[in-house]
Amino acid sequence: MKLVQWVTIIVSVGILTGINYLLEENINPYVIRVVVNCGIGMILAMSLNLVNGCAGQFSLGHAGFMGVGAYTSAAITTVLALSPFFKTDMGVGCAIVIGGLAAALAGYLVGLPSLRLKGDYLAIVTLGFGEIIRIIFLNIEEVGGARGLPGIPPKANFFWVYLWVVITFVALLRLLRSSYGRAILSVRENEIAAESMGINVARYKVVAFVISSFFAGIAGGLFAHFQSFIDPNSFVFNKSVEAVIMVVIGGMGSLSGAILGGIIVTVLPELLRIFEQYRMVIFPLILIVLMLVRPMGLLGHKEIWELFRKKASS
Amino acid sequence: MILSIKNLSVNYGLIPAIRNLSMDVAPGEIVALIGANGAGKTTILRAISGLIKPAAGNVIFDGQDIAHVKPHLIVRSGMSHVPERRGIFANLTVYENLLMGAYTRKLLTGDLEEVYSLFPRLAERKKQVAGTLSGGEQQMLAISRALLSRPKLILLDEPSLGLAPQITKSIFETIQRINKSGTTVLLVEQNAQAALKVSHRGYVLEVGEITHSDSSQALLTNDAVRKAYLGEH
Repeated sequence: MKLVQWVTIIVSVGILTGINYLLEENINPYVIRVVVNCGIGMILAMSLNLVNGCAGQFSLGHAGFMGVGAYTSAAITTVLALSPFFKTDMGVGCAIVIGGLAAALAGYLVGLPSLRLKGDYLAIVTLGFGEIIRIIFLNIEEVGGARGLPGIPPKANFFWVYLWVVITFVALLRLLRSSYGRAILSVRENEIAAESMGINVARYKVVAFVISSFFAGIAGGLFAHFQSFIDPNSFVFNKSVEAVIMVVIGGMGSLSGAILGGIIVTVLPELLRIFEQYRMVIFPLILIVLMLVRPMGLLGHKEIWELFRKKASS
Repeated sequence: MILSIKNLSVNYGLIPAIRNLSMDVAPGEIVALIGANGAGKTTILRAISGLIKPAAGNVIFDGQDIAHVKPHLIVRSGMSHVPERRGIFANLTVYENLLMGAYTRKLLTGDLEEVYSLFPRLAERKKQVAGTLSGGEQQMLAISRALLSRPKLILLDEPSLGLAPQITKSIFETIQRINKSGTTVLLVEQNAQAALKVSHRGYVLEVGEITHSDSSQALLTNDAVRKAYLGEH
């Protein structure tokens, strides 16, 4: 890794610690809750962006992988409770990473057969798998079944969530800037041409899907350890759609766009609370207007800094 | 022979597209495959580069039967396919497109300079998004990208498609230059006149079968071919 990126990470850890301290001291819990949910939304959107935006494969089952991460990590820190270590900050961190790996494995198992399909068919199959995963959790009594899983140690605070936002962002940015990432992009652009360049198209689709599932699992693990309670209803189809909306609003294929989408889709419904029962009428209306005005999403294929660079030069 | 096709048959579902077709390409040649719309020209190229699986027959490239090898592996054995309609990566820059061309190997200094000297326009536009190039420039990019995998044999599918006559001419001149520097070329074209002028030998394809095969010079003067493909009555 370049020095700049190390510095970025170290500086952001410092800043995050500072903000975290201030938040916990002074700000009301509602604001903290929204800000943390924003972060979880950003991770979810960035991860889905890799599949839907960069590899061009339309997946509609992201909530399922988030669920795998959430349930696996929560099971480690509560039901299994292998050692008291898993109640500490570090232990929860490890559990969340294991949750991410479990989601990646689920992504591999789901992706291998379904990525042979394209477009609408892939969307429907991933939707189906997402629901299947949820219903599996619904029927495992050990993790609470329909009653849900309470008492998860609430260790995922602002600091941990945004640390993962930074990690996800840097990891995916580096991936996309590598020849590996260019190969994933070329699959989106033209599968036949990509194949003619010597790219194993099927493999890259699965790789993108697995990496994406990993980060979705991380988002799920953070979600579980922030809410301290999860039930299968936290990972319904709606959640997948929410992730898709984040990606589409931000701009398919744009990482910074996904972050923007994550913020908008989390914060906007909160701001609209002043409209009370009309909230969920006005929110979709705003989305519709946004799509009419900018059909390519807020940033399109570009990253936010590329937009500014272009303005400066022209 | 660098490429020999023996008794190749390709079906789309139940419908046969290519029936029992045999043809050869010798090292250093430019071979043109001409024929009308729907004759099966593109299908043959796709079967050679592995994009579709043949129903029967052999495709022998450089001494190995590649009829059932996956396309991304065929590229590594030294064959490069410029697909119909160019298949450039429209949202990537020209430079990124070229990098993808060298995906199977390490890009050496000088590789890009070589391509830029073949098509100076690409050097001017290397930071531009490829989708904003003109049709001719996109064709130049597609050919350059294919060359960067250092193929022994390059398959060109309708390089003149949708191009102005002047640009078609310059593309064909470049194809000859590429050939002179040692790359064997198999060219599929509807523009029979232009293709036969630059090629050494030609095959005429009609509904999935080869009807004529001769030196390009002889095909240009062949009465039947002239009537059907060269617009003379």
